[in-house]
This record gives sequence, C-alpha cells and structure tokens, in this order.
Amino acid sequence: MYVWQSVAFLNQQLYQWCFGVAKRARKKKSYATLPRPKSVEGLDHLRSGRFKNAIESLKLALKEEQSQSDGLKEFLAEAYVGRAKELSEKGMGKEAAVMLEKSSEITGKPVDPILLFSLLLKVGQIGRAVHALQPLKGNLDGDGLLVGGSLGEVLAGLALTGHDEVLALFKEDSSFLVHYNTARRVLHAYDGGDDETSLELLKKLPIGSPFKNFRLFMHALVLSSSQPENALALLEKIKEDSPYHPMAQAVVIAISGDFTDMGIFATLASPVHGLACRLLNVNAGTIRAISHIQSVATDPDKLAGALLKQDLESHLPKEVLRTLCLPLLPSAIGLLEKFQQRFGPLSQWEIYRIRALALEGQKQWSSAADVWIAALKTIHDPMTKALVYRHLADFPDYRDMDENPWGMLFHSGNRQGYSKIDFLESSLRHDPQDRDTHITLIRLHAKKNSKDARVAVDRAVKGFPEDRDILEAAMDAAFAAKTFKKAAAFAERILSVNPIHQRARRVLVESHLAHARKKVGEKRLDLAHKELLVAESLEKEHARSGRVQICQAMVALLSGQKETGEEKLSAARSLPIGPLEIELMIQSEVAYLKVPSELVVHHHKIFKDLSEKISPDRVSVLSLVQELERSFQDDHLPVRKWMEIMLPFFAKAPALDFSLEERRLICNMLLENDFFDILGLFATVGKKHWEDDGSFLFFDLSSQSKGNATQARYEDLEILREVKGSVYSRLDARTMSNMEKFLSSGRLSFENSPFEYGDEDENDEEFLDMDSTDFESELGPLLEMFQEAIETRIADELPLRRKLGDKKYGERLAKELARGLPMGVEVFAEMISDILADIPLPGVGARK
Amino acid sequence: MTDPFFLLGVSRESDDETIRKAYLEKIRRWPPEHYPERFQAVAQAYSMIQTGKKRLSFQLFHHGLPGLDPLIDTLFSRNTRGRPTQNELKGWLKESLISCNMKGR
Repeated sequence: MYVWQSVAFLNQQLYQWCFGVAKRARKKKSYATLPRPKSVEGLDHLRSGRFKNAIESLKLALKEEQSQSDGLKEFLAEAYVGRAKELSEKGMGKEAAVMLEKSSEITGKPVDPILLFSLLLKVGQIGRAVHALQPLKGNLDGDGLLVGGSLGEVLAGLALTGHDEVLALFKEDSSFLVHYNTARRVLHAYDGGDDETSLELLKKLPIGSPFKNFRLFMHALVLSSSQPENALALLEKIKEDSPYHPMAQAVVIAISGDFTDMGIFATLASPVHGLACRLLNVNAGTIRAISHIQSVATDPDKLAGALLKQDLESHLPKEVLRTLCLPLLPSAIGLLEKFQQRFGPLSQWEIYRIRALALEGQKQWSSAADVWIAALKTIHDPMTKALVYRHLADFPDYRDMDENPWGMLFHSGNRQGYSKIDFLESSLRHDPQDRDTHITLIRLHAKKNSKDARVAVDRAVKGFPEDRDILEAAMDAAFAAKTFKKAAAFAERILSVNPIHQRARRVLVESHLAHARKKVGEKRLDLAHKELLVAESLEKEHARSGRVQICQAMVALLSGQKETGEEKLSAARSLPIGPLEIELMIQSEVAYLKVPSELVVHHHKIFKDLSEKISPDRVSVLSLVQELERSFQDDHLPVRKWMEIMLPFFAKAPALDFSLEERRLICNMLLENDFFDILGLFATVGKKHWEDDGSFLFFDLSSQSKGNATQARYEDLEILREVKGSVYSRLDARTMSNMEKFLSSGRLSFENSPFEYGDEDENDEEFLDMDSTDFESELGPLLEMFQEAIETRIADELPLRRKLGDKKYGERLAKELARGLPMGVEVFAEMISDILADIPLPGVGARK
Repeated sequence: MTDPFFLLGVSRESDDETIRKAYLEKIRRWPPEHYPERFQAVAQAYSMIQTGKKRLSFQLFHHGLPGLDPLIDTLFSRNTRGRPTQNELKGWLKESLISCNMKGR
C-alpha cells in the first residue's frame, strides 16, 4: 500500500490514538498544570494542516515516547507527504521530492511514483517527473493505469510535446506507442494544411485511448472555420480536468465571436491566450487595448481619455479612433485641446458645434443658442443652416414661448427673445422643401390664431399640393380660423384621395353646418335647410353626431314647423350619444341660432333635470368636456351658465376612473374657466392616484387660492416651483403653461413673498384701482425685486453685449423684460441704462 | 448608442445607394427570425442615416457614448482566421500540462 493511500485509515486512527494519549495525560494531572505532550501537539498540527510544525513536534515525540513509536511514525510519514504537497504548490519540486523520500524511509514503503510524478510535473521538472515513473516502466499499459485517469492523458501530451523519455516507459508493442505515432501524424498533417488526412487519422484514435481528448480537440480545430457549431459540440465534451480544457476554451471563444465583453479573454488560462489570439489573428496587445476601452466605455471622460492615448494607434486605425472620440467631446469638453493636438486642429465651425452641444448637455439652452447662432456665421451650407435652426426650434426654452410670453419673463433661458416660429421660418428659408417644418409652422400659427397661418398654409400647399399631411394641417388650420369654405376645399381634396378619411368628412359636414347657421342668421331659412340636407347626406348613418339633426330641428322650429322640429330632436336624442351631451348640444344650437326661448323652454328644463339626475360615466364626462372646450372658444355662448347647470353632474364625477391625461384635461378646463370648487374635487383624487405627479398639486393649490397666486402661501409656491422643475418632462404643455402663468402672477405679488415690500396694510382694491401714474409710482419695491436679477443677467451676458456692440442691447433687453408685463418698456430701459453705466463693457475703450 | 455608420459598415461619405446596399446585406446576414435584436439595431441604424439630410443631422447633433460592438466586429471579422502551427500547439499543450492539476491516475 502506498503512503497516500493510507491517509484515510490513518485519519481514523488519529482520533483513537489522540484520545488515548489525552486520557493518560488526564490520569496524571490536569492540562492546566502540565505541558502538553509533543505527540498531542504534533497531531494537532497535523489535523490543522500545519505540516512543518507537525513534523517538528512528531520528531520530538518519537524521541520522548519510544513506546508509541509505531503509531507516531505513521503520523510523521503523513506529515511529510502533506509537507511535500505544500512545497510542490510553492514550486519547490526538489524539496517536495525529498519530503516524499523521507516519508518513504520512515514507513519503509516505496514512494508513490505517480504522486511524485504529479508533484514534479507541477513545478515544471518534467525530466525528473518522468523519471519518477521508472518503477512502473513496462506496466503502464498492462494494469490499466492509463484508463479513466488523467495520467495517461498527461503522458500522451508530454510525448507529443517532444518528451521522448515518456516513450521509454512503454513496451514497444504497446497501444500507447501506436496511438502516439498516429497523433504525431495528425499534427504533421494539420501543420501542412491537410485537414482531410488529419480527420482520417483522427478516426484511428479510439475513444478509450489516452489520446481521446487530443482527438476531440484536433477534430474541433479542423472544423472550427468550416463547421463552427460542430466544433463547439466536440469541444463541450472535453472535461474541465483535462489538460486540453484551457485550449478548448480558447477555441470556443475564437469561434463564438462574441466580443461585446472582452473580459471573456480574462477567463482564459494565461498560457492559451496566445491560441485565441492566433485563431482570431489579432495580437494580445490589441485585446488588452480593447478590453481597457470597454472597461471605461460608460464614462465619456475616461473613454475619450483612453482613445486619445498614443499607443492605441498600433492597434486601431487613427481615423477610427478620431471618429469614436469626436462625439464624446461635448461630454468631455476639457479634452478638446488634447483632441486637436492628437488628431489635428478642428475648424472654427466644429469647435462652435462641440461647445454648443456641451452647453446643451448642461441644459444651458440660452448660451447654447448663442453659440449655435455664432457658429452659423462660419458656414455657408444652406442645409446645415436649416438643420441648426430646426434644432434650435426644438430647445425646451422655445417650445411654448409663442403661447406663453409671461412664462418667458422668468424663464432661465431664452433671454434673447427667440421663438420657435422664428427659428422654423429661418430654417425654411434655407431648406424650403422640408414638409415637416411646413406642417409644424401651419400648426403653430393656427394655434396662435395668427394671420400668418394663412401664409403658411398657402406656401405649404403650393409646395406640396398632393401631400396628405400638409392638406390635413391646412384643413385643420382653416377650420380653426373659421374659414369654412377653405377648410371644406381642403377636406374635399383629401376625400378625393381617401374617401374614408373620417376627419375630412367631419370638417365637410361642419362646414355645411356653419354655412347653414350663417344663412339662419341672415333669416334665409330655406337655404339653411338645403345646406343641412347636404350636411346630412355627407354623414354616414353610423357616424352621426346629432348636430345636423339638432340644427335641422331648430330651423324647423324657426320656420314654425314645431312638429318636424320635435321629431328631429327626438331623432337626435335616439342617437347612441350621451343624453346630457345631446342636451348640451341642443342648448348650444339654441344659443347659436338665437332661437326664441318660448320655443324651447321645455328642452331647457330637460337639460336641467338630466344634469341633476343622471349619473356620470367616464365617456360622457369626457364628451361633455370636449363639447364645453369647443363652446368656450365662442364668447357669445353662455357656457358658464350651462356649466353651472351641470355642476351637480360634474360634482359626482371626480371619483371616476380617468387616465392621468384625461384628468389633467378636465382639471385644465375647470381651471381656465374658474370652476375652482369642482377643480379641487378632481385635483384631490388625482393627487391620491398620482402622488409623484406635480400637476395635481398645482391644480389643488390653484383651487385653494382660487387661481390667484397672491393668495397662496410662499412655501407652497416654492414647493410648486420645485415640482415643476423635477417633473417637467412628464407634464403636458397646457398644464405647464397654466403653471407658468400661475407662478408668474405669484412673482408679481408682494403679498406672499417672505420679503417685506412697502406697507403691509396696503389695500388690494386700492392697488388695483390705481391709475397708470399711481401704478408706476408704486412699482419701486417690485422693480427693486427685479434689479438684482437683471444686474446678474447683464453681467452674465457680457459676450452677447460685445457681440451686439452694446448699441441695441439695452433696448432689446428692456423690450424683452416688458413683454407681457403691465409696465412699459421705458421703466425697464431706464433701469437697464443705470445698470449698464455701473457695469461697463470690458474692453470698450480698447475697441474705440 | 451604436454609431449607425459603424453598424452598417459604411463610411461617413457614403451615398444613399451604398448605405441601402449595406443595409440589405446586413439584414440578410442577421434575419429577424434568428437575430431579432441585431436586426432591430440594423433597421434603426438605417433609418438614422438613410438620406443625406438624416446623415447630416446625425453628424451635426449626435454626441455621447459610442457603442464599441461594431468596432470590435470590424476588427475581428476584418482579419481572416489564423491557423496555429504544430510547434505552437505543442507549446500551448506543454504549458497546459504543467498548469493542470492531475487527478487520480
């Protein structure tokens, strides 16, 4: 029995023996008073894996306890074996071998040659390792030593790598030598590029041979380029304890070709890195360089820094490095100089572009716009100019400026007075064929109800007479401007291309309806009747809105045909539309056509009764809100009166299940029309449902302060400002605009400010009743509040002043500040003039 | 975001037709049924640089972290695969033999 095989037995004995020694020691005296016997100490060390100490203690114990020498020798031999392994791990093969020999001397048993072999192999002493197997010479094949273990595979590998001394261990007629010769021929054929022969020869290596994994590996290697999937399947069969496993892993990595994480190379054992690199035809330096780039790929600064390193050029083309690095510069603006040193100077335009993008990244929209505009002066390409203007139009600061000048006054950016429409108009001058810009401009002008909408529509339709999107935008703009004939003409053009276009059909119906109403106003009921017949014929049976029927009813009532009128109203009421919505439409038509009240008195009662009795549902509420929104646009309609009638209906609606957008829509409608009590009910439920959404906090605050920010507490306004900043992108434009207006009105007040301005007892009514002269005389504290902000801004805008030559700067700024405010430009002009005198433009003297 | 020029393997000066060809080649290589993610990335890249105006817009305003995958793909696929020599294989095998932990017999 070899030494290493006796370990289990000895372990079992160890406890028994230890127990006996300790028992004897206890019989004499307690542990506390006597030194521990060396044998016990030695066994403790042995158990704990401290072999060096165990050897020392057990050697002494052998001298002290002669009677126990047999047992102690066994343990000492075990300690030598343990120490041998320990030394081998440290690369001290010779010392390990000495330890094994000592163990052998003590037990009188020969050293396990295989154990010695493995220890010496581990420290790279291959010659000595093979020599250690001499006792097994000639028997390695015979007694099955090479089957099922890794010794055979290791010997096969050593033989293939040129260690011929291995061959001497085998008999001349052994199968090992036969297989070895085959394997050599395989390598030779592969080396010569003869894959076919390699594969044929590999078939001669049986599955039970020590060359089994060699066969799998070489087979996979041959197939790696032509049949990668089959190669991978073969490589999977090579087990982890095989010497071929690391090489197999290298081939797997090279075949898989997924280098999204180059860290995969780090998982390879270092000796076979070369194999992966060789198969991929890249050098190890390139792998290291890319691994480093990947490790910093999420940090623009670090990534740009890594790409700017000189040594990368030996691995990656300079142009590729430049292309990768350039888009990083706006996020790593500090490296702009280094970039230019490395890749050559950038044009003035490029530098402006990068700086502008960097400022955008910091959300300094105003400064970014300045830089872009400066950049435009350095280029001549019209398309680039058009794209830059379009880009500027998308800046958040300019998105709502056309609708919300009050918000602009206190906005952090857009101090230059630019607007989205201006930018888009400029972009069209350079690129007149951009249809999307045409459409956006039509919509923006239409939203502003501007006369320019007509110009925008004509220009777009002229440029794109067949474009459906342009025609739709033109139709909507014409309809919004109440130029029904024009809208109908666009609708007809859309329908000629697409007869099932619902909205175009609706616009056409509405146009006839509008025409009919006009004829009713002119007391030409017969013509109105004809128009309504056309409108009715255009409506599909299943898509009737009821409006045409109601209008027909009113015309009949006005013509004295009461029965026909009531029939038409019944027909309208039978349509699948909410009953209250129909009643509201009836009220709307009555008001619009100025139908005498005695003709419709009972319909008014029906409307009132339904408002009190009917239970709301989500769809009916939203339809009514839509109808009301439409009616609010017409100043002549008594919409507030209707709304008051419908309050009982709306009061039951806040708990209904609306989406976030729907609830916001309702709240905005209520807010804009001062229905603060109902608004409070809707806002409270909204706040509970969407705790993180700032809009309902705003609606609630508006409800409590009755829409007057001067009535709100300063702390609440501050919270609202924070909320607005943090949830900006999640709010819709309408809510944002309302919030801006509310906050801006709060900024004009002294009432809710934590600072003291003037007399606290000042009477609000008196303040509001002041004439313009009184108003200006009372502006002092308010202007004082502005003073500091304006001073800071002027100081910030030194480059802009310089650019403008400081001539029109003051004038322009005063105009901008006065925009949307009750005080005149002169007030600001005077203040700005004073401030400019105190903060002169640096270098003005030099300029002169 | 992965640079669409890299992803499609075209230069920044390429014209519409070259880009279209590169796109078609890539979707043939990565059909949606087998490589849905790759296909989506290719389609997205193509939509970003399909026309001259889009390409100019991308070059003017695109900034931020570049995706490195196409660079790596280019680097590795550009080279033909290597073939180790007999001696190299023997060298790696020897290293592996020394570093392996021989278990049992």
